Parts: sequence; C-alpha cells; structure tokens
Amino acid sequence: MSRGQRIWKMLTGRKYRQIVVGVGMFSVILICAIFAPLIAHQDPSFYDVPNRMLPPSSAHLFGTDVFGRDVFARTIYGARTSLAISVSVTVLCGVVGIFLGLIAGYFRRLEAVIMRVMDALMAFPNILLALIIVAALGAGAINVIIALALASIPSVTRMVRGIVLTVKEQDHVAAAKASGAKTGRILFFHIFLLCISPITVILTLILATTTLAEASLTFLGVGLPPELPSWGNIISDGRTYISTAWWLTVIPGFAILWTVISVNVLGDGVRDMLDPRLRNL
Amino acid sequence: MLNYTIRRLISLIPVLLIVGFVVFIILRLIPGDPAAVMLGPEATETQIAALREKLGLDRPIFQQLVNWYSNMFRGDLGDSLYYRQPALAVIAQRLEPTLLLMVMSLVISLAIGLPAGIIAALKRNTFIDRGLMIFAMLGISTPSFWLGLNLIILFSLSLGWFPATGYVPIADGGLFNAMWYLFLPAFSLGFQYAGEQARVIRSSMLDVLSSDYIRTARAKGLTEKSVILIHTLKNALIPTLTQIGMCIARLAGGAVVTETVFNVPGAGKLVISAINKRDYGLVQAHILLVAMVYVVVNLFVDLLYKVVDPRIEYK
Repeated sequence: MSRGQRIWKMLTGRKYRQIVVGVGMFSVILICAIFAPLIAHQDPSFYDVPNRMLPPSSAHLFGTDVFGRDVFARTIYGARTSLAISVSVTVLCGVVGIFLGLIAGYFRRLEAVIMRVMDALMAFPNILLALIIVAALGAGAINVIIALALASIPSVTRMVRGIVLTVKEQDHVAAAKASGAKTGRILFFHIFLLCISPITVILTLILATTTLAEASLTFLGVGLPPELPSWGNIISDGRTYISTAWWLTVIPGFAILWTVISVNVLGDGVRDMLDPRLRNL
Repeated sequence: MLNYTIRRLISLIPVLLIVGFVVFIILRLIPGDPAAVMLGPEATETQIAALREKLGLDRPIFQQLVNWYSNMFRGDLGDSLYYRQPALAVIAQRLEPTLLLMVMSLVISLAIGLPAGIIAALKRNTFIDRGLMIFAMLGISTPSFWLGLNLIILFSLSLGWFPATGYVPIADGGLFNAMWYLFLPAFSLGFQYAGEQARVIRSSMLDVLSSDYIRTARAKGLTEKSVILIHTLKNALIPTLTQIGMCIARLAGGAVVTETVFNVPGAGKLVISAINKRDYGLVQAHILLVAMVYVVVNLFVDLLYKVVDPRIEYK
C-alpha cells in the first residue's frame, strides 16, 4: 500500500471519517467567507431597483430581493458576518470560561461565588439573555458578541471546574506542588492541558449554537444592523414576501443549516476521536 | 430525602438573588438615563423626573437594589410602562398560547424523539440507525425560525392545510381549534428537541444495553421484549428527564422566535414588542419569570430522580 493510499484509508476509516466530513463541509463556508468577492461578483449592497424580486436565474443564482440586491452575493458575504460573530463568541467563551473554570475548581474560596453566578446565568435561556442584553446595550456586532458569549460562558466554566476538581487530587499535581511549582504553572501545565479534549468538544457545540442564536437574534431584528449582509437579515428581509417570492427565505436558510451541520458533525467526530468511551453519547 | 429537599430549597435562595441581581444590573446597563430612554425623545423634564422617582432611580444604588429584592420576593416584578399595569398581569393575559405552544412542542419532540432514539439504539450500526441519526442531526441543526417559514410556505400557502399565522383563544374557538393554529409553530419548535431527545435516548439505551445486568437478564432466559421494555427502557429514560427539565426553559426562549414567525400573540411576542417599545419593566419581569420557572423545574426534576431511580442516594 502506498503512502497516499494509507492516508486515504486512515481519513475514510471509522476514526476520522466524521472529522473529515465536518472539516470538508466547514471549509466550504470558510472559503466562501474568505474569498467572498471572488465567488460573488455582484456587490451585496448594490441597489438595483429595476431588477427587484427576480426569481433565481443564471444571472442571479438565488434571485434578487425587494431592493434588487443579489441574494447570492448577500448569502456569500453573510458567511463572513456569521463566521466572524460565531468564532469571536466561541473564542471569548473559551478564554473567559476556561479562566473562571480553572479558578473556581482550584481555589475553594472563589468557587461558591463563581459557580452561583454561573448557575444564575444558566437559568436564563440563552436567546432571552442575549435578547435583553442587546436590548439594553443597543444592537450592533460587538454587543451581540458580548451577549451571546455571556449566555454560553457558564457551560464552559461548569465543565472545566468539574474536571479541575478531579484532576487536582491526582498524584502528578501533588508531585508538582512538592517540587515547588508555582500555582500558575500547576494550573496551566498540570491541570489545563488535561482539560483540552473536553473543552474542544464543548467549544464546537458552542460554535454551532451561537451560529443559530445569532441568526435568530438578527431575524428578530435585535441583532445585527439591517444593512449588514447576514443570514438572519436576509431571511428576515425575505419573510415579508414569502407568499410571492419563497426563494428569498428558503435558499439562504440552507447556508445556516449547512454551517451548523458541519460544526455539529465535526464536534461529534472530535469527541469520538478524543474519547472513545463517549462514542455512544 | 426530606433533608435533601429542604437543603435544595435553601440553595435556591442565592441563585434567585443572583438571578434578580443580573436582571437589575442589565436595566442599569442602558446607556444614559433609563427614564429618558423609556419615555422617548418627546418627554419633558418633569415627566422624566417623575418616572425617575417612580422607578426609584433617584435613590442610592444600594437602596434601589434592596427595594428591588423586597418587591421581587413579594411577587411584585414591576410595572409595564406601556400598558400601565403590573407587568405580571400583562404577561398572564398572553400566557395561554405560549403555554399551549410549549406543551405541544414538548409532546411532539417526545413523540418523535423517543421512538427514533430507541429504534436507533436497538438497530445499532445498521442502515436504520444511520438514517435516524442523520435525521436527528438535521433536527439539532435546523434554525427553528427558518423551519417555521418553510412550513408556512409548504403547508399553509401551497397546501392550505393549516392557518399560516395567528391564534384563536381556547375560550373563543375551543381547544382543538387552538391546537390546530399552533400545530405548525409547535412542530417547528419541537423538531429541534426531537433531534436532541433522539440522541440522548439512543446513547443512554446503548449504555444500559452494555451493562452486566442486561447480560444476566438475557442469560437467565428472559424474552427480548421484557429485557428491552422492563430492564433497559426504564433505566434509559432517566437522562431524558434532565433533558426535559432543561428543555422547558429553552422552549420559553424558543417561543419568542416562533411566536414572531407565526404571529402568535403570546408572551414571547409580547417581549419583542416590549423591547421595541423600550418597555423595560415588562422585559425585566418576563425574563425573571422564565429564570425562576427554570430554577424550580430543575429542582423538581432532581427530586423526581429519586422517585424514578431509588438507587440514587442524596448525601
């Protein structure tokens, strides 16, 4: 078997198959986002009123909206907006959630305070919490990111704390302490590095739910500003005309579906690879 | 058990205090003077001052917080500025379609999710299992508002089987008619949870099926039917309880989106219009109510665990 064949076999084998499918599907969206101007030739914000509400054709693959804007271009550029928001939220959640989780798990005194705040935040359904925060702070990309991150941080914190509680009782941590390692070093090298696989899994989950939540918020009109091409906006714009121009709502929705499926499949794959015991879960 | 119940009830207090605190803080996050923001640009100075006094915004922040708590625990969640009524009363008037929608979504999600998960687990690694799990993946990945719009296009506008939007209260058209109006909304909301339920029940079935006592049950010659129904299913359903508990809060969040899509005049739609009208008193009361229900439902689920599964010991 040549090297190429071996790699092919490995990638299509049981262990990596889901990851390969997930990464492949996600790459399509990523490429759309990065190379948006090359893929969509029309300007997503160009008002071409004489050509409004056109059905899908070779000139306008997904048709045109009520202002004559090309829906294909808007959907492709929408990938930029959606990914930028959901990736920022996931990174923010990761950084803050891991930090709070490590502290809550390691320092008993801070645990009660941090965890009760997290319990309280968990009690708000994430879309409602995001809704009220955006309502208070005002619409806009940064506020949407803050709101969605706040809604998802508790699940990361809870999970990291849970692992820290078991890991910190292990012998290697005691050994590190005995040999005089500083607390920061113990937390990072001896505890955090052991949490990486479950963190990866939960962060992919957050990426998926955030993509859905951002689209829902924007659809409700309390998320991103209407002129920004985003999937929630496009569907919300098309909604008024569903009886005459169904394509304006149906087609862009597939972009959300595709992205969320790709991330979920990737998440399942990563989980199975990192921890075969969880394969059935 | 009694001890545990009491301790859990006591532990609710800090959570509720913090839940109240979070909502209190959010109202203060509004840039500028909340009273001026709420009254809009045409308000006069005296009106703003009057509202500030009414909301207690002219008092020191600590006193405001104490006031807020004492009102909260007396069940006074503030007034709706737009409707000029206690916020809870306004919400209560709109609760019927929302509750019915939530119940129907839950029933639909269980009716689809449970059998799908059970069959997938029993037919593990077959074509049927793969098919059902792809279906479940579609469920958890489909934006419910988009699914709702697609259902309207297909079943209302093209086929004309269901009304596209709106709601007729039970008192006016009967329960059946109300459910007919809410079927599409409930399906679009429930489909997502059906996917989740299917995945949870499948994994917990597989977990139980690989345990020793199932092997024993088979070894002592029990029929496959009693192994599955009595030994496996009863135990495998326990994680589903947690899932249902968590679902209830998220259904309340999901209802906001679904009610907007289907134009159902429920509590969720009320919140969206309250946000647009800057009626923060109403928004505040609604979110606080949902959070409290979530906390109480989850306590109830935890206690129910003990009843369903006597093996669980609470220390």
